[in-house]
Amino acid sequence: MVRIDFLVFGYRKIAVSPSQLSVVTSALLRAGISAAINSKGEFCVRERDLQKTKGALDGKVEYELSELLGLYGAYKKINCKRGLLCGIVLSLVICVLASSVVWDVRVEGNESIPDAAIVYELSKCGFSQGGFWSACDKSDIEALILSKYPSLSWININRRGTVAYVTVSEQADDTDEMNFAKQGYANVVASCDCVIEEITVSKGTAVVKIGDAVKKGDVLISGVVETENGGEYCYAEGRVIGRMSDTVKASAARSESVKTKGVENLLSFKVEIFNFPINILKRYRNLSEECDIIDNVRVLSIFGKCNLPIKFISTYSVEYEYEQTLRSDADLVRLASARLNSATMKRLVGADLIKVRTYGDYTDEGYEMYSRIVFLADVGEPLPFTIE
Amino acid sequence: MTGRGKKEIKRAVSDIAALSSFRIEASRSSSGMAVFVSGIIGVENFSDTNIVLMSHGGRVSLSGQRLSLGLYENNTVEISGRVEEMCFKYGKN
Repeated sequence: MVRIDFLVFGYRKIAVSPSQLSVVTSALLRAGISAAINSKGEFCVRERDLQKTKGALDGKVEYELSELLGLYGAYKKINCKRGLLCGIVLSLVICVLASSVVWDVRVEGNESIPDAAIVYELSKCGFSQGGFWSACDKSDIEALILSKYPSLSWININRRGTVAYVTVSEQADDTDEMNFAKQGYANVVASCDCVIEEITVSKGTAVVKIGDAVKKGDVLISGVVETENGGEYCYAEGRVIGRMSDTVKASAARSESVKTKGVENLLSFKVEIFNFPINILKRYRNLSEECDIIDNVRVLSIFGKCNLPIKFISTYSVEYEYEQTLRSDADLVRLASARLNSATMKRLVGADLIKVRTYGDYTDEGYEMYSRIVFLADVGEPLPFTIE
Repeated sequence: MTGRGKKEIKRAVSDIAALSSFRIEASRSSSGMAVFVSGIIGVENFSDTNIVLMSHGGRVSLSGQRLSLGLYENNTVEISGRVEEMCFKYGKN
């Protein structure tokens, strides 16, 4: 089987005596010539390597050369090249024009609103089957549809090839929430030690009041409700805000091993036309365990607006090296401060900060910082119970 | 007096190792197996049942059926076909 790059760029078949194959292959290898050889004494070389091949073989072996073969060879034989080029240009234009039209609109994710209604509204906004992709602004159309259908909470128009996929999400019905009411019985308990700042009861009975200090696991809202008949159980719900304190630490080492990016080495290059790959170049090299393999994909487009079904994919390997760096005092403080900020932000997710005090000190290893924070957060969590 | 002297090119150990970067990679293919061998300096024997490749550090002998050879520019050789046995011999070439 002939290689794809030989077929595209043109090749010649060379026939030698089978007994001289080892001499021929060694000569080609030394000259750095790519060839595909079979045991019958025939091999193919690229047209651009022909002179080099003749130089490597002349005087050593007798050989027979065929005419120029492959796509380039066929192109050379054509008399009317202008007609061929016009045909290629015309077919590219037809491809581009055909791919710039919306061939179909498909709706998904809708339950109560029929597909035809959404497609009709889209056509009124200027987006329909047969229209051009570039003729309308998709974000404007999405906003118009959402304003016309209050029951829709989200709409997105995706382009896959020449088909528009309209994905919608409808708002959940209020009755659905009642149907999904929590089953069973539960108390609301404290998730950590804190002082109660605010308590709002939706269901159940409050056991603590504002200002009480509670420990982790203490009941805050009970699932027992007193009624005229004595009492009944329920799934307690409510919002309990507690004030608590915590310490967040961060440090920076004076000497640290830092990963630095090395040289990028090209491993392979291929062209994909309509998702069919054509391998142009492939290199083999010993790769270390620490290296990254990066695929760089570039899609051919016309003035950046219309993408063609042609991709250039190049694969690189990037080696990394580790360097020991010594940080100055200022760098240590800067780094420890950044790490402390990040740790504090992470701790305060869903909480309101009231007070913070930060301390820092140099140590033998580097610099250590810590912050004492006081904050408010939701401390109630449901703890189901069963009745025997 | 200034003049251009001869530059001494000293090869580091890593450069010498890179010259003979022997590597084998094999995968299944439609014709049986495709074996890529890098760091080859010559071909000692080639037939449809036996191929012997030479590298700086020895020889690689592949035997099987319907074997074919592909040469690449960076001293890499591809053997495709029904590879059945692979032998390694050591010694300077």
